[in-house]
Amino acid sequence: MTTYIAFCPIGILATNEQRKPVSFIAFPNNAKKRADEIENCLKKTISDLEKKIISQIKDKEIIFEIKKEGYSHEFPNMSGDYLRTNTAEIARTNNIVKSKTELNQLFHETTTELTVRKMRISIGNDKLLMQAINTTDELTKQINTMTMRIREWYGYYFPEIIERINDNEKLAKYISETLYRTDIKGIDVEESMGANLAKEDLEEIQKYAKKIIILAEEKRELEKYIEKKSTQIAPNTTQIIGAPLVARLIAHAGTLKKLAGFPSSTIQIIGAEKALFRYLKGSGTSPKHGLIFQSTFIQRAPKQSRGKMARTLASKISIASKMDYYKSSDKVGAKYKTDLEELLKKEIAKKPQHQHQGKPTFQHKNKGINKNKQSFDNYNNKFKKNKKFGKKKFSQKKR
Amino acid sequence: MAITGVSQFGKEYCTKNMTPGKKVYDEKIIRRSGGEFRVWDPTKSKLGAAIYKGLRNVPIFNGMKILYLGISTGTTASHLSDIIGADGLIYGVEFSSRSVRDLVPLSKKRKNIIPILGDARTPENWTHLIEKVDLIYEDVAQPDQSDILIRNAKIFLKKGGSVMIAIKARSINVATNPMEIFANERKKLETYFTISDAINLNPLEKDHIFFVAKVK
Ligand SMILES: C[S@@+](CC[C@H](N)C(=O)[O-])C[C@H]1O[C@@H](n2cnc3c(N)ncnc32)[C@H](O)[C@@H]1O
Repeated sequence: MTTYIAFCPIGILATNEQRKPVSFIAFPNNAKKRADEIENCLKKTISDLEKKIISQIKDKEIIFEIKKEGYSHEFPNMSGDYLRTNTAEIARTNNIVKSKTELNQLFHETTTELTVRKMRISIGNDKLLMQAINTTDELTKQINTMTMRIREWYGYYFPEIIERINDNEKLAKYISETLYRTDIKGIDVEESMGANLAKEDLEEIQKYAKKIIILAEEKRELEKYIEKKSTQIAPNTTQIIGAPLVARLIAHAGTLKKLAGFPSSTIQIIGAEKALFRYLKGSGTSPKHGLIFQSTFIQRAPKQSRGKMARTLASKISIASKMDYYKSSDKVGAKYKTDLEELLKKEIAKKPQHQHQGKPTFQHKNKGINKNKQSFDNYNNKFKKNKKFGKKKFSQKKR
Repeated sequence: MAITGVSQFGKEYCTKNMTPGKKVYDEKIIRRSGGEFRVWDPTKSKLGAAIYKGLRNVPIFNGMKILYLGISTGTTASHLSDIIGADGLIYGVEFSSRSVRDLVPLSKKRKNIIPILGDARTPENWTHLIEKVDLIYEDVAQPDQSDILIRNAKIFLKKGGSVMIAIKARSINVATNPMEIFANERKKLETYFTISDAINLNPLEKDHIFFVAKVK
């Protein structure tokens, strides 16, 4: 003969093969203690109350509804089905509740308690990493916007220095520390086209510059924090592609667990969902690389090798992130990094020479500025993309 | 034909607010001598959209038990909560902890909503938290959502129980024609259910269909 065992917020029930109850043990009469008992019953090992009900059963064969060490299980099983069909009756005959309302309340309190407990542990380091990387992106954008403002503003007074200092933070430092025009190589203050602003006008600009410096410092600290967290939760993957990219991949996937669960073909296109969507709808080409395109392994690779590089990189990330998630003691990070370096070298060696020809570079005059502008634009594009994905996720969640 | 628990004022469909003075999302409130009513926003709730598009056979009654798969922050569930009243119960399953974070406070105000952090695909992880139900409502936007519904119905639906499911063509396949997808999903569902209503939610929700069905 076989006995089936299952549980629900009121207690543990055993039924026989004819689906008749043979034993029932009520859970304690308190939401927190009930939740404790349910958590015990969810473990693979047999809980004290389960031991008790087993001791009351004469049958040798016992089938649980969920996995239990040393026993077989069947989902759903007869006891569970009986319990879910006759909950109110069992609760009444065992004096657990006096009314339907009380039963509803019991279910409500117990499950809410369990859900809240689960929520508390659902916030792990990967979520913190996601917030941190998104914050650095926002800081970068904010710093850029503020610097563009200050270039215009301070430019009324000292346009020559604006032209001279391309680096955002350096300019902010100059304004906050020097403020008044000073002679610099090639710039004669007497000749400045700037307006003569009063002290109080300049001081407002100076305050703004100080804010930029503070934000830039915060960003650097956050980057250190990301480095630390990323190394902590995904040491192998971090070693291969670096902390910021690990953080971005996790942010896109949602959790390290999800990232580790992705096949390498998915990892290859994380962050290129838009392009994938276009491709599936019949316009555009299949996306070769998403976020991982930012990796230096792909950036340094010759154009025609990038697809291959991306595939290899994605497969290494896929394995490394699984090891990280399962906290494997194997250290594959360093080896994979070397493998990739070697592959990259090979690909570069293959690179046909004509690639280098093309336009001669005669625009060095503006080179610095152009470079700066380009990275700024790149950044902005990236940001726009991210923002859109963010929105998409949000609207999905909304209902 | 009237829908149990749903009142119509002019063009708008409303449910009687079970928590007067408190809104759930940014819905409009109408006060009548009968009490306070919450306007069901058809752009924020697919069941709301189905009703605006003519669905009248809504298998819902006071005191009923509902399993809601993909309850999210409880927009649609709040109207169901108004309708089923204090004796009813909604078991709301949602796998996004961010959504559940917003759902928990709602469930504290509406004691007939029970928040469950879980995946509709793996009922074995949360079966122990629920009873059999009169209705399963599913809106999970997943490619295999018809299969998910059938699996859950086999385990949790009472004899004679009903299901409602909102299907978004794009979440099944972005490349196939929505009509083809709807026909396909209908076929899948009809292996286990008899469909009584099929409402196309255009233009309120683009390329969405809403089915009401009963176990065969
Ligand atoms: C379109 S929204 C639901 C909106 C909600 N029904 C309403 O009208 O208020 C889909 C929800 O299903 C959830 N979801 C998707 N797949 C799920 C699964 N396998 N298990 C549980 N929830 C899921 C999503 O997190 C999302 O919150």
